[in-house]
Amino acid sequence: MSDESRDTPFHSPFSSMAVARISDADEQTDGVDITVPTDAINEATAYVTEYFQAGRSTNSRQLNAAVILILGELGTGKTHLAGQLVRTAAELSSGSVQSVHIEANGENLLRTYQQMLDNLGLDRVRARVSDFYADIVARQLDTGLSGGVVDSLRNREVTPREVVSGHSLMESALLREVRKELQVVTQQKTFVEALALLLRPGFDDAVWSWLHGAEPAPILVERGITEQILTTIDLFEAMGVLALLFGGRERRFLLVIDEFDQIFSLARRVDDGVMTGFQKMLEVFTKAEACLVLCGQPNFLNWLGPANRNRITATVQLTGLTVDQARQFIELAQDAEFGEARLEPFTPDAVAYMVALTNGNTRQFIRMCHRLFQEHHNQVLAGDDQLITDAMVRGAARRQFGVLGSEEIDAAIREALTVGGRNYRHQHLLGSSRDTMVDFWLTFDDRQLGCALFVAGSLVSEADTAALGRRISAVQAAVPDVQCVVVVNGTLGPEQSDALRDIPRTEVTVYSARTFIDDLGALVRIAHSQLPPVAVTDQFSTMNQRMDELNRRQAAAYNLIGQLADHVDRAADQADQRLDALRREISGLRGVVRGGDDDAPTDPAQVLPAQLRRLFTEAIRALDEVTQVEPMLNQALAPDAPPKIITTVQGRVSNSDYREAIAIATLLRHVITAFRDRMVVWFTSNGLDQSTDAPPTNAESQLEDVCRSYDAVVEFLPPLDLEALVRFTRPLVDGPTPDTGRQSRHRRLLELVEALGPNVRQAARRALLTGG
Amino acid sequence: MTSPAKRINPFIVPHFEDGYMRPLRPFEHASHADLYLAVDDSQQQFDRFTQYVRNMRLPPEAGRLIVVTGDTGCGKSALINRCVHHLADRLRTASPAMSCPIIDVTSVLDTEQELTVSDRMDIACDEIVDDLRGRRLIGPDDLTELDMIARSKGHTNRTFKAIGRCMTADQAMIVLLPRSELTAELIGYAKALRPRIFIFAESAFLDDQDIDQVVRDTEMWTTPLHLRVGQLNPGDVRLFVQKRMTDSTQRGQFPRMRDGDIDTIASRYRSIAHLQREIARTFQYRLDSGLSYRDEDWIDLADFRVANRWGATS
Repeated sequence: MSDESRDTPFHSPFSSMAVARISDADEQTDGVDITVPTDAINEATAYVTEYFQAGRSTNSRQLNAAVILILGELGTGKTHLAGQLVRTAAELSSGSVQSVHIEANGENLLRTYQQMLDNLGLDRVRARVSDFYADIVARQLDTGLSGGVVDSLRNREVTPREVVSGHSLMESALLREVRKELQVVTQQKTFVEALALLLRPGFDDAVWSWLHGAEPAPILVERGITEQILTTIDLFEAMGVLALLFGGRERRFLLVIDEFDQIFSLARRVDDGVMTGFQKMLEVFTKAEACLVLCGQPNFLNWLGPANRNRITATVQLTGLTVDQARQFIELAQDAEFGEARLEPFTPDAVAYMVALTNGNTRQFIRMCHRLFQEHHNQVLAGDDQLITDAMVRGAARRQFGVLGSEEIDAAIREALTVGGRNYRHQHLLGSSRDTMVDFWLTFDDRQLGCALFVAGSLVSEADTAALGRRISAVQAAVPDVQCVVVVNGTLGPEQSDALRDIPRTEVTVYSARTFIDDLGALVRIAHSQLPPVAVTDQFSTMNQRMDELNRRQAAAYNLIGQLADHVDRAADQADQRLDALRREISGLRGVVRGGDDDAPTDPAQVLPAQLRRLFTEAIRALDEVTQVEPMLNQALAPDAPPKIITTVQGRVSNSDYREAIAIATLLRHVITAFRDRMVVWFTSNGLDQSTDAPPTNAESQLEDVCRSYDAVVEFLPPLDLEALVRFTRPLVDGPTPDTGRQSRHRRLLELVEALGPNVRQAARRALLTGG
Repeated sequence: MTSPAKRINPFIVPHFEDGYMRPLRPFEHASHADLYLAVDDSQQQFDRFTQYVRNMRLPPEAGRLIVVTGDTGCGKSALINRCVHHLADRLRTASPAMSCPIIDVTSVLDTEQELTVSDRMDIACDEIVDDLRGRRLIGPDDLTELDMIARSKGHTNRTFKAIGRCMTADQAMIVLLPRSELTAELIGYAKALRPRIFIFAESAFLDDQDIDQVVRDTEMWTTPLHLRVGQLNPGDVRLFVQKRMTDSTQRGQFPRMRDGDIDTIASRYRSIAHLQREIARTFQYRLDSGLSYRDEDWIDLADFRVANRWGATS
């Protein structure tokens, strides 16, 4: 590698998160936006194009309204495709079309509807109602005498209100006409009344607030708007009203709702009105000649009844990338970043292996590309120019999918079996040949036979399953009627999964830290139930067996109680820390209120807008929550700290993985703080803290530089590598801690730190546009 | 040698030179009484009112609510002012010693801020009390009581009750209310009425069904008189233009309009206000432009087009 290339900041062409974000038609995308034109993407784009062209030409095949379903598993690129469709719509319509891209909120349909409303905005909603008014006023004035005013109205150069007032037109009669036209949009009188009130002064706040689901203000109640928009049916109706308002009358309107299936998964549990409401909404969208794109997971289709399915124009299924598409993606991404469409440092074999390991899941594939590209870069820096190998791919997969080492997976299985009160032996030979060695052999006091537990790595090829199949067959030959359980510590390909399902008396689970104890427990219970029971000898021996089992369960229960108590203690520690932090913040605020006349240092980040400040604060907090260094040392150095805590801390700090993870975390913290400080400088030097009229023209390019520098530095400090901390930061006393809290903190950290650059860029751009 | 006749705009009525869209106010300017025209069915509605007054024992034992409806710009306010003028006249004739203040609170509300019915009524009520205070028609003790009442929200009914208590038998009161669009407001006033109080209300948004509801809900108190002004009838435009020009002949010189041109522009207008605005603006434009403005000159469509920025015909 040349000195020059060593000096150039490293930029990966592959996103570390590979999570598409909801974007407006006019919003720039962050970073490189690569689209491999798969059949599904081409198909969806063709439908949207056809819909928009139908609006322009009466000769084309009419697709006046469209309901398009985009279905795919998580990470297959639904959001990316949705964003692409919004941009396609904007291009086809030169930006004149209203298109809205929102993400459904699974917890609350109201939030989803509010997003749609906010995305459209009061001004656009009012302007749309005003369009009705303008057309009506223009029609009345169009008697052949007043072309100028009529043209101005039709070109929206003057508002209908100005014309009505300036010409003393019959406002009451004209507004009556508006109401009549709005009744075509919705037969709900309340919506008609509310929308018509937007044309009059003094009602904006009340109407907008009511449309957002608030209780109607008294001035609305007096006009007959007495109910909140609250029920599922109301909300679907309201969404339909907006579609009719913006679509219809030869206008084109595109609404993309991401993760729409979440609405169904929630609403099906709590509200039977969802089907009726959804069906009504589809009818209204068709009537409005609007285009509705709903993204969701494949099972979404099963939830729709036949009546709803009949209204769907097209269903686009997003499947995993093929090997060819994956190669094309890598070439396009490198072309976009480096100006050269190359596959290297990946090899065709490595790409095929990566596709197999990720099942072609776009997000997983891109994340793996990111890891491997970076590893290769490090390797090159160390003087090794070798291309990406299968071993590197396996290593990346292990880290990416949380695959454990052999000792760790054994420990996880032991833990799960202990919690379940099971008898087991590790590495047990069931026959004479070596093939009959099982990783764990479980026995049951009330069963004649036991259960053989096998641990396997990733199963992504025929050879992988064949080897495992041979082991299982050998065991089943040695011990007829034995039950088998396979724990896959890695990836299980769909074909391999089918192949394993065909092996008799065998259950399979893929290790997942969050659910493993439950998953394995359930499979062992199934195996137990399938085994033949022992013959009853006498009552005492049966009772003894039961007592033994109860004792084991009681011991496991005590163990769990101990873990819970530790968890509670730890939570209390964290609460204390947060309280201290709050106290410090309040103290800081007092200083601000007092005009900074005390000695408390003023936080320079205070000049940043709240949204920007929050991004930094949350990222740093998430980092602290994962590292847990401070509480650990506080506990260890406390006067009454038990010796076991000291030895545990010693164990941690002597572990190189732990030390490396802590070093990454510390550096990350410094990088985030420095990034924040640079943003403070950017903000103040561009006068954005002074609410100046126009920031300097190079402010945006400065912003871009700062954000890119952050992204470039963080490339080498991936929070994914902090996984070691997640394993290590268990309570200092014995026993495993529930993984959910740590895992969710880690996930949150990934989201906050890796997306910090794009998020800061977006928030700062907004601040730039709004003058701070 | 006689000086040349003054050049006038025949569509700006005397006393309203500063605002030609103001409705006629004969109770302030007696000459306005002769300027009313039988357009928009307003004459029939006025006749109904005079009949109503004729059938009334003056002064009445109960208060009265008169509601005038019709679309924006049809002449509701002008009709109300004419009715008020007639009523005040009849009251004075019936009881020469009677004092009858005309309290106009039509413009008291901020048009840019929408208020609840209760708040609107309170503001109008406070304005009425202030007006009475200014005219010294209420004694200091009564004013103190009214001021105390005004401190609480929703005090319209109690304020009218107090005003009614302090009005003597030779006192009446005519109130012109702000425009209303809600039946609840009219019902509220109807219920607040006291003897010898006449309330005039107007609305461009209430229809016959709404007024029927007001009547139903107030039949225990008083039955409002509903006057409904219609839209321009065929011939109304020509009647209006010609009458204004004829009535102005003695006031000064001005160009005329040909019948053909009047009929051409007539199709454009649905309300008397729209006609008044554009025709007054057209004559004013011609008057201010320095172009010939004599009795023998003509105002034609070109003047209308320029004055009202109609632009090119489509």
